[in-house]
Amino acid sequence: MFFLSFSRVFRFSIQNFIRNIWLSIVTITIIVLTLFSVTSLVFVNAVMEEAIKIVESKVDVSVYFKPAVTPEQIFVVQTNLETLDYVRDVEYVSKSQALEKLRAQYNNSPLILESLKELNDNPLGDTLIIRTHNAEDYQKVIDVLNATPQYAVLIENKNFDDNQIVVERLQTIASQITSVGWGITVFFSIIAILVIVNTIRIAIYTHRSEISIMKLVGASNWFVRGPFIGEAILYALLGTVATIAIGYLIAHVSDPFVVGMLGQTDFSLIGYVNQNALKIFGIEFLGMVFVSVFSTSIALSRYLRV
Amino acid sequence: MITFKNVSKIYPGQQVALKNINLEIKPGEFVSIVGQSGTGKTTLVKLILAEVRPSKGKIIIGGWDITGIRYREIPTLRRQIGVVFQDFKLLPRKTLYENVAFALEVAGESNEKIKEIVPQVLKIVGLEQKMNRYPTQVSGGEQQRVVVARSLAHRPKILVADEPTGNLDSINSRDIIELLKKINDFGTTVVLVTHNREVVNDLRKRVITIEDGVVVSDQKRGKYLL
Repeated sequence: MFFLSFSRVFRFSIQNFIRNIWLSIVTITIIVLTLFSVTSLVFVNAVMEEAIKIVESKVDVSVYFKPAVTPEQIFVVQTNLETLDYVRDVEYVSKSQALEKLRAQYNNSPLILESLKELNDNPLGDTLIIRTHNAEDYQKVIDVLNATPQYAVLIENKNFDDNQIVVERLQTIASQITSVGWGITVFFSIIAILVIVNTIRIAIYTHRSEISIMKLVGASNWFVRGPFIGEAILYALLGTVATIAIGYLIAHVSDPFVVGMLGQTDFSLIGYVNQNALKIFGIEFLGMVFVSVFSTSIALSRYLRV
Repeated sequence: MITFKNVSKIYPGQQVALKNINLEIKPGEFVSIVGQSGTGKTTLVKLILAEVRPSKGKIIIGGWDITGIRYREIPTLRRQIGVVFQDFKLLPRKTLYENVAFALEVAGESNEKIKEIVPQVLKIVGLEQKMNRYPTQVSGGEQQRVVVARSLAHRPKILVADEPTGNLDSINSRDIIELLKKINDFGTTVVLVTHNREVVNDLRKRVITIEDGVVVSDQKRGKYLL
């Protein structure tokens, strides 16, 4: 009995949808615009997160020791720093490795290379390069180094890489994009609600004969209302399907640019979408079902007397 | 079958449609309710169908006190009452068969039952040969017969016909009334609301006359008095 009624309600929903095909198309277009703004937001956030991750991996604190400090003394500092739970790794770079690095870095600057040759002794000290799990923890490392007197006497200089500023800028841009994105989504959601309310209102008007006959012959209230709710779910479903198609297309087209922008990385937008498709589009579908059914309920309570 | 105890209906703006109506319609009766336009006949039909609620009094249908009927119980009541209106209320895009089947579909009847019942009721009204035609392809009288067939689909205990001959010529009107009599012979209680003098006088059945919302006459084998 339930499945029979359900299948009939579903059939009437499809009839409603087809009879007002142009209105249905307009409604779905608005739903697609709403969902597309959410999808774009998700994509941009994914790319920004990856960019932040890449830049964050390049942030470190370099601690330059005085030339007189022995490697054993430095290893004590290294071991102590490694015990801190927010420190990811501590890399020891000897003075000779540091010099090699410097030479390699300024390979194209003959003046600097000549100057280095002029020096008899290696002017550089040993270095520890410290990386943390989170960018916010670098300040803690610096605080520990400053607050420990036995370390302070060994250290000649500390250098907190400028990449932290880049990370902060990226985080600010990401949060601004998120805010604007949500603004656009709310805007389209309001338009979607208004459009759906009016579409269902017109559908009620178009089907007033059927509705009056349904009531006359004793159709249950849910049977009268059901087709309109079904129509709303159909809008959400088709809107989501169209958004999935557009989302994949956009991911496919923009992937070479994203990979080019991020440089050497395993990240790809298509890969990200494949991995999170169910989560992204599932939530979008459920959200849109909620918006559509909510709008339809408004229209039914205002314009349909059963 | 149908009992009205001191029923009054006052619409907003102090418009009195019915005043202290007392009625008792027995099972299997054929009752004509007559009166001029605006006397409250249609309000009486609306009260039976629970489309409106009484302002005062009590209404009992088949032993069920529907005075304060709950919203969700209304469909159950309406499935027990067949209704025929003046303006046919047929769906133009559905065939005659589909129009009758629609009434059963929305009430959740199984497909097998629908296939069994629809030809039966169309046969009762003499339209089994035209069941695949559309309403626009048959006459007004035939359209009204389809409406009667549809009202019979649920095998109701009561059939309420509100001005069923209002849009028909005299020959078609007579056909519809004959049909209602036939349905009444099967044991269905028929409530005919009309202001057609000829129809009422030919019937020689119980006649209740309403004037200005008040029952002014109730005759067992009555005539149109007004």
